Amino acid sequence: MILRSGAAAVAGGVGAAALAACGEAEVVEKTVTVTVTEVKEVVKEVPVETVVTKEVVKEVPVETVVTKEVIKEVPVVEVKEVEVEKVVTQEKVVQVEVEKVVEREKVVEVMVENPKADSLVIATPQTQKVDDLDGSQVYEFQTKIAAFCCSESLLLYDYQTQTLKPRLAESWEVASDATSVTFTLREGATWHNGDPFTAEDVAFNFNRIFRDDDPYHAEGTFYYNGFAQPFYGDTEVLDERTVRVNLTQPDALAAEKFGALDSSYMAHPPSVMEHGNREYSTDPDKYVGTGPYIPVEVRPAELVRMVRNENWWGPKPDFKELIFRIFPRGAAGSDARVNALLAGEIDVALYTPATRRNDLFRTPGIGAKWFPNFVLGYFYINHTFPLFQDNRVRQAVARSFDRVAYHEATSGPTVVPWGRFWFPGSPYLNDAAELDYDPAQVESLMQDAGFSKGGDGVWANGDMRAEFKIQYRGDPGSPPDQETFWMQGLNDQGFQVELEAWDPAIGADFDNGPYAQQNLHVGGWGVGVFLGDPAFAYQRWTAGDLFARSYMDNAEMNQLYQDILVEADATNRTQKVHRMQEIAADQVAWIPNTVRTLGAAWREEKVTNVTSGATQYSYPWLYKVAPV
Amino acid sequence: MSRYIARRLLSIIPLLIAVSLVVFAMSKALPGDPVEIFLQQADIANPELVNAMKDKYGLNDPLPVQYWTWLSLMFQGDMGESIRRGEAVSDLLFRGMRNTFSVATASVLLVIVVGWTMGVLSAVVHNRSWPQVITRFLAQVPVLMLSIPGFAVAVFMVLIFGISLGWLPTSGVSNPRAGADDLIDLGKHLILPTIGLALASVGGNWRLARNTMIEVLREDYIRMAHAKGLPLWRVYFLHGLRTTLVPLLTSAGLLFGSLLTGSFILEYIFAWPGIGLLLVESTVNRDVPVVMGATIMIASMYIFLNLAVDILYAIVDPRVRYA
Repeated sequence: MILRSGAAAVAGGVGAAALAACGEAEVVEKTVTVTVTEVKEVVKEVPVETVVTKEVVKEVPVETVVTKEVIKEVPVVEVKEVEVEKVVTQEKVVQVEVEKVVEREKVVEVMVENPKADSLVIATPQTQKVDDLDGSQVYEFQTKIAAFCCSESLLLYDYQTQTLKPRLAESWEVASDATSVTFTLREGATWHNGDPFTAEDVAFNFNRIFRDDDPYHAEGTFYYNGFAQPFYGDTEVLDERTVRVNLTQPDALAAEKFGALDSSYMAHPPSVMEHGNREYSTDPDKYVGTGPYIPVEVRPAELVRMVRNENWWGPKPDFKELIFRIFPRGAAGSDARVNALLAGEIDVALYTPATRRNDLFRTPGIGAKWFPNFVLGYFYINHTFPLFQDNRVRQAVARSFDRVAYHEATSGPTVVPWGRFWFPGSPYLNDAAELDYDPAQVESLMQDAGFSKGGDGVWANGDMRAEFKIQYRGDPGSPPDQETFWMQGLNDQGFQVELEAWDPAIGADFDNGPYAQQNLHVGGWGVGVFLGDPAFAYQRWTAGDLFARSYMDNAEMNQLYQDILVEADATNRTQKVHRMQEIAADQVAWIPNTVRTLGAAWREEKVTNVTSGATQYSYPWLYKVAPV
Repeated sequence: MSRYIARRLLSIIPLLIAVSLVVFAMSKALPGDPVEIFLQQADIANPELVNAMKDKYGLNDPLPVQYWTWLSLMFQGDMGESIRRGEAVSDLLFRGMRNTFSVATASVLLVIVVGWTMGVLSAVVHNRSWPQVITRFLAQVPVLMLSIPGFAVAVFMVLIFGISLGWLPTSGVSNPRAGADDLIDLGKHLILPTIGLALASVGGNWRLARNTMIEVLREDYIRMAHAKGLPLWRVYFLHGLRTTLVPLLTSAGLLFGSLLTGSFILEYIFAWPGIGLLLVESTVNRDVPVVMGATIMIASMYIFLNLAVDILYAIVDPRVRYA
């Protein structure tokens, strides 16, 4: 009697359903009957048993294996002879417990082999070249998320600690005169096809990427090589694991540029030589990389499928298979990504829109967050516009925007309102150099500049009235809220402001477009900041490229920029960067607005979290997403 | 007939050239340089690269040279390369058209199976003096279908059948865990976009079929058929339906063309990578080779569909003959 009721209990608690589902039902029942008296004890002492059994039922068709284990460890005849009232000895219980633990481990191991449970579907937006696999040839953030899972650089820039970390190179050293950088390669690193990764491979790649006359440069889309190409001399192979990159001019950022910048990703030389850069980068059958995942299928505009590289030098990635499902870019795609996540069609959605944040936060089983990104959003200001030639007026305008109130009310956690010139948490940040909202200071600054409010409430100084235009990206008639909000704030504080729409398609026309000096008053734009190093950012405003048209030319700033390019000492460098931010705040070189974020949402039944990891641009560390 | 077809085919060539010229001129009249837009969006500021890319795509050439280059390559079957994606335009169009073609075909089938069938049945019911509740219901349903925008129904269906019930996929053309050629999976993905795309057309064709059939059933020759004592099914479906099909075929031909190009909103909602999304995105980005290729392809399809419908006319209605 006791045995029978015990059997029922076990049937419920130890997974009779799983055993019944197996082809050896008779054997199972015997087993169940046997374990009764002991398992009662075990259930109390080892609470994991129930969970283990459920996993077996749902996920793993390993009933046969489990049954065999039980049969082996608990002989039927022996247990039948045990008198129930006397119970078993403590030693025997412990023995069973051990067996159960072993059982659980086996189950978990088998789960990992389950292709459905072990694949992760990640939704990303369609990009210009979504099917590029070679990291050195991709040029959009979304594509990099996939490409950086199969392609690697020598070093990795760790966003969280803002330091360089080893990758395909174990160590590196910048010469004291900053004219060369030496990399020592990782021992045992191999290409996906098993070829060893060597110093010759590095030399081949740097010539391929940075030399226009290299025979293997043709066809490639090395759009980001411009950051390092002017500095590149040649690459010397010192031995099988050591290479030295010689520069044409000193550069304190040589390790970052040649070790970790987007353009410095490694391609498999024989494959490139055989297929050419384009075929190599777009055909998974021709692509050979070194990364933790191996691409196996590309369906253009649909998906990129990768499987785990079991021979990768790093820690074993969590998922056996990654599938990047491609959605259209823009609002259509981001909405569809959220729908697909809510419907369970995908496991992780990237670039989730702020407009759906409530849907995500309120849905049980969905986790969501927005990572601070290495991109500062800011407003451009025309320093040559007569009204803005006085930096006090520029400061007053900058301090009229209550970005905290605006973004908290509209975007919630999806952006970080930011009135400073570098990123939160960074050692480079000079927290005192700020342009935060401060109406009292606006009043005082305008009065100091000789302005007084007329009868219409607008600041005026002689013939000069505080009137200007704010350009915005958007459809005429429906200006973005940010500019409207700011315009109202400016009006309240005595500025006469008009909104002026402009076509983003002609934004790059710096001679005649809205950002041409003669047309620009104030406009919103963002800036990508590469590798988190200020030199990359300030280069854009001072070094004679496109952003030199920022309508500000400050001799001290320009000199500081030149200094930090060759300043290898970290402390000195940081001090100089802090000083640059003071100048930027005093002169209102730009009006910082936000730190941009990258949204991600995931199904908690599949992963516990998507972390912003040690990747460039703070990409989610997808191959280290923890499975449940 | 064959001379007629040959003449029509020959007339297509100047028509297509005219279309391409207009589209080319309009594309070039738009403000914004495709290369600058492209590089700006990739956050790349490099004037040398801009110039090199313009050279590569011939954008530094005079406009007539650009057009002539495009046209001569086109006659050789080369539609050029997308400035934005660096991919052959023909590949992009093939992929987009394949996806749009599948949803447009499914929509036309739905229109034929539901719209035409229900329209003809409504007419028969009307003719047989069934209770007014039924005849009015059958007359009003298509009006309802025409009144509700298909995209609104689509959004609603995504919420109900996709997210709440989980019965049908909410977006895309395939389940990433399924194989590339899984037709059942494709069928599942087609259901919601097809309903959204075809809803109004089903209503329109239902009404058209009903009204036409009712008129046809009042014709003298139908009365004659009744008088001869022919069975009802023969009167309705051989004599009546055959005449009714003429305007329906015209409608279906044009419908297919309009579905191919008018599916943009549905492609947008369902993240369906079709020709509509591609064309709009390419226009916004001034990707002229893709815009030109897509326009020529769509124009060609319209022209050929019209020709096919004209030929079908002659088959269905022997009174129609072409010299």
